[in-house]
Amino acid sequence: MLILTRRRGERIRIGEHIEVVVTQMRRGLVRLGISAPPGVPIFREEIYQAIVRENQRAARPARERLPELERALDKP
Amino acid sequence: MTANTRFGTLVIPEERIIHLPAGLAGFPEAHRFVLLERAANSTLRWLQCLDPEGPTFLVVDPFLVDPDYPLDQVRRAMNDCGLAIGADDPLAVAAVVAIPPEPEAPTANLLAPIVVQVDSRRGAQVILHESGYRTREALRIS
Repeated sequence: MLILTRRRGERIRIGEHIEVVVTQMRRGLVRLGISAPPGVPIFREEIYQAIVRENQRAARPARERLPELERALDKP
Repeated sequence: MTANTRFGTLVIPEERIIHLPAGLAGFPEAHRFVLLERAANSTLRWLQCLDPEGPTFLVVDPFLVDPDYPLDQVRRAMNDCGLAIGADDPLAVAAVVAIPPEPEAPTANLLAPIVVQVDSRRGAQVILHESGYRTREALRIS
């Protein structure tokens, strides 16, 4: 992994179209601004992983619970 | 197109195929989907992937779970993806439902809905960063 040191206000460019700027550093937190073209998704890593886990979990529904759940949810 | 799914062999006309060019988180190869009704009055629908070995999801309209679901944030997220540029582009929104084994409660992922631009039938699973929702919100119909 490439590791770079930057000061506040300094930037990193990734390829032609992606730019990362350090906007603030305070009490162990770093605030970053990221510019990327439309279609390049940007995620906080832990949120992305939570969504991966949730999709995988959702792809294995406990089907035996479906009739009961639908009775509770569905309009008559 | 013809696809082998858990519902057997499905023949889906082109105009019903939903395209998610980026796939879904954890399922990067799942690009083509179809929405299948479970029953005429059912709140839940199947979102079936048509690609080989594609996953099957249950989805719910997030506006039924929370009438105040933030459509403006949905639109902005789609705009960021480059998938819905016009302010009036009609969007279809579906939240992925998880039904874990007992005793865990069923949940809906209101943080990361699947959103489709209706005219182009292209979409993505987007993240509503500012919504305050979690990936596991109680599945109750308001």
